Amino acid sequence: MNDFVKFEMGFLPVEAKITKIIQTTAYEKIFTLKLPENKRLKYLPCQFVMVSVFGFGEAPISICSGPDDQELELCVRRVGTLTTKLHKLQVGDSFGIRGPYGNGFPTEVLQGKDLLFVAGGLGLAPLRSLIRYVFKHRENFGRFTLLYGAKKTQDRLFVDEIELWENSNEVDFYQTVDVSDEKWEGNVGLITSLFKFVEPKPEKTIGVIVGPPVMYKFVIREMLKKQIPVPQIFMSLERRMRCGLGKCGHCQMNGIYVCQEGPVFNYNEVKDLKEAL
Amino acid sequence: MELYFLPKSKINLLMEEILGEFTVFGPKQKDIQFVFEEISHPEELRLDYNTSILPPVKTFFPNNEKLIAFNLNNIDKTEIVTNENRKILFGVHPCDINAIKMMDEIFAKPPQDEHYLARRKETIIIGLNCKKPCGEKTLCYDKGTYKADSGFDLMFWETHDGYVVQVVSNLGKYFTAKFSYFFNFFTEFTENFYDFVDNFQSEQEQNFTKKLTHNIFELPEALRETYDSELWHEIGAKCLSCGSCNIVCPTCYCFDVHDVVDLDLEGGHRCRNWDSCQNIGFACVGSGENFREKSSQRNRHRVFKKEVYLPQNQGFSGCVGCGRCNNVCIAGISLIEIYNRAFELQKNQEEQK
Repeated sequence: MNDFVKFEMGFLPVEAKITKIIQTTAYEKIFTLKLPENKRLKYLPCQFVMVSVFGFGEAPISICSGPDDQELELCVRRVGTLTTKLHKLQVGDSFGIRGPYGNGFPTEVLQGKDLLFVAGGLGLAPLRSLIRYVFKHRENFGRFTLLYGAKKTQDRLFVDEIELWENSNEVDFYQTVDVSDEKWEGNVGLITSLFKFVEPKPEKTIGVIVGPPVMYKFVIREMLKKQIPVPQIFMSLERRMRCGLGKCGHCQMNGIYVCQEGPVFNYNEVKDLKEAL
Repeated sequence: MELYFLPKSKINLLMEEILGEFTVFGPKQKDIQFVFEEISHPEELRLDYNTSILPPVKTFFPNNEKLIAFNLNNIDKTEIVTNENRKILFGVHPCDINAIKMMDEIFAKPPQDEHYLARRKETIIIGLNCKKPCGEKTLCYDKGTYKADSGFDLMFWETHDGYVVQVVSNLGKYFTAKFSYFFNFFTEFTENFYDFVDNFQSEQEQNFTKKLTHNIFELPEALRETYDSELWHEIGAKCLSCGSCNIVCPTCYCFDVHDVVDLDLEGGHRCRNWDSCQNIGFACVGSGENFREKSSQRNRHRVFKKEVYLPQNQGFSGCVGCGRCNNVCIAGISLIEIYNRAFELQKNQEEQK
């Protein structure tokens, strides 16, 4: 059955038609997409696609749907020319995508393990792909803990799913906001303040971190404090990208092209890489 | 191996023949310097050039290259753009031949870059060996890139009154066969070629000098130890982040991608232009985080990419020692100085141990 779309020509995108748009926060929209001939995109959690609107340019965007999901979803924050244009598009409009790029998450390392996922801000979007993978194959994993931090209550992404996670016995979900408002009754403080609720069994726990650049070293420190061994800590890193093909040079950190060898790295691979964290 | 002798007086005649059949890129004069550009008249070709402002390899990686053609109203009309015209690069110096070999590997490494490879394919490269260095600021003798063992189809070796023409590849043979009436009529080389090469090389040995205090093979290790050193702050303080060093470099290949829309607001192209790792926004992401915001970090990255990361990842240095970056830097930053400083720092550190 040949129902997957194939990309053979470097920069050439295919048409992705918008079938649904959810305005999840003031700055973020989730686009559900349909590819030509209803073909699907084959991808791993934490892979990304190059998204483009002709005349407005191209940028790397993480896939936020799970690899088993029928529908392809992208969560886009409005920051620059391209993403502002994307936010103006309506259901039925199209844009270009090519990919997927990057190594994706090595899901085999998770099998049979306890999972401790930590997402900061927009980092929940790429991590959601892995979260959905875990829920889909829930019986293969032990205890599943998910920590999520956002700047403000209204910045939280996927709030409908957060409600499900909060009430689910399949995941221990904790969330925090840096700045609260009068309605917020939850935890207030940085993402690291959630670690007091967590007591992982270090030898059988895999830690996964996705968030803004500034977050990594602090969360890694917390994981190490919980005795989680270095080779069991994984993270997905963000860099500027222009091609996704290991050529343009923008995503390079020291000798590594993030679009080729990343964006998912084991802490062992990057802890001595000076430009990484 | 086919060998010919071409008198200098016949170069224009040969050029006339070639220009009738091919697009030819070669060295020609521009003000007081030389450029490597398309030749339209035989007398424009200046095989006595020292170096060109931009390197010949940019023929395969032009600035503002069109990657895809699009139509704003119809995504089905999107097409990949490649350019596959047969052409000749005439008079490429060994440093630049070595640079082309390197770029061939970079762009052929999967995922391949079909745009570079299309332009590169079928191109006939006519090398021109150097008897003497083209300037004071080259590192080609230290790097061994003042000669090339491969990467060309024909090689011209200069003598006092002409050129010994060595034909090494099938494309080279195709070239001489195409102009066989010309080559057969005017040229023959009867001396022993290996004696000729020996003499040529001993002349080179007299003219070229080493610029580095240590062997080039010790460079990656010496540089690695400078990572956190003051050296980069000093260089960073001098650097104006203009990016000229990257633009003239025959082995810089970083690029940016942007869209250009036609005036009719219907068609347009996605293009790539040369980018510079010295530009302040080069490693800046959407959220505003800049992973190399200091000039010292960017300068270190340029040098490390060429002399540490590429040797480590690809097995070759990303600098052919052509000296263009050293010549063009308005702040007077020179790789020769940086490399020697690295050796010096390494020596001092060892003495302290």
